[in-house]
Amino acid sequence: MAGLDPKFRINLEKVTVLIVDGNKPGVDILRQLFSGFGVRTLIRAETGAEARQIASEQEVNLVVCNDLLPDMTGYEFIRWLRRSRIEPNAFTPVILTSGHTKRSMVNEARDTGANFVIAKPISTKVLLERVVFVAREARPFLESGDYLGPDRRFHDKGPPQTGGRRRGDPAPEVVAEPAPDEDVEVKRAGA
Amino acid sequence: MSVVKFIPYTNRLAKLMKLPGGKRVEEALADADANLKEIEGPCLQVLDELIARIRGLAETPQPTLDDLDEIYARSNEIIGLGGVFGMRDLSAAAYSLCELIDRTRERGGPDRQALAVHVDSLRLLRLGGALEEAERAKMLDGLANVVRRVAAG
Repeated sequence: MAGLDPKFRINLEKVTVLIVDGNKPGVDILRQLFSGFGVRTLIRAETGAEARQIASEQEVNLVVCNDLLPDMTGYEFIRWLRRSRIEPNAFTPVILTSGHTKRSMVNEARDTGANFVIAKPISTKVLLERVVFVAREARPFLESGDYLGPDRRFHDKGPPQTGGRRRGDPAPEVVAEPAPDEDVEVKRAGA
Repeated sequence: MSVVKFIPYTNRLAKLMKLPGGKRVEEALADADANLKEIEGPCLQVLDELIARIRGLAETPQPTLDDLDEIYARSNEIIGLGGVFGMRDLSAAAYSLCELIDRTRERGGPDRQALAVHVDSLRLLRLGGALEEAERAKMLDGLANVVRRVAAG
């Protein structure tokens, strides 16, 4: 994955980040990292229930959720968020953090609706690259069977690139509907 | 044929990040690393407590499934802590311990020897510079072999 240009400017001052993690040292690490990145508003939820309440009551622009929570899995919370229809939070980029993933949870992790999974230990550089990537990515949001979340396919675009938008690329905040695959029927929301 | 419904949305994060101001990537990374330094001491203390807790549970005559679940949980915490403060091998050993328990829990957990060698490795790797890189790599290879052997039954 191409690294970020060191001279590239990022602005996270107005971004509200929700950290969902029951583990205090883990939260402390994320808080220090995001604070260094320039985030001024960090909200911590220790449990999935607390995170649901926060997501229901206020807008958050980025969610960083651990896979293990005291009262539910991080996967359950993310799935709930995606299906909550709470706008705009249901579409908020979610980064799932994970230490060891139990074999029984691998499929659930894939289908949860997170934009990205970051394996622990978290590296400062990787976290910032992923944040910038989820802000720039143009993967469509889709609902298919039990799944609701960003398109899980990166097609032939390769791993996330963070080297800057080209002049001809669409604006990152506008997510266009892609050309449908031949074997799927495509509907827009409300159709 | 599966039905796929595309849902248009606005990426608010992208909009906010385009506002004027902020800092350069190099500054953001340096500031974040400096912030991490501030909490290194307390985090390393937690790390030592986690290893001590795992050792205590692993050395009980017959660890129960609840004990194994706690060892798994504490070891998972070590994965997230060690590498952030320069001890990636410690995180790797903790990952191996989680894998060992995950692969053997259904049949009551790993044998005592497999558990003990992981706990000893955690303690040694916590010492960091006391071991050469090649020794640490050999230790991790050994742990991987233990997990493979034990998982194969």
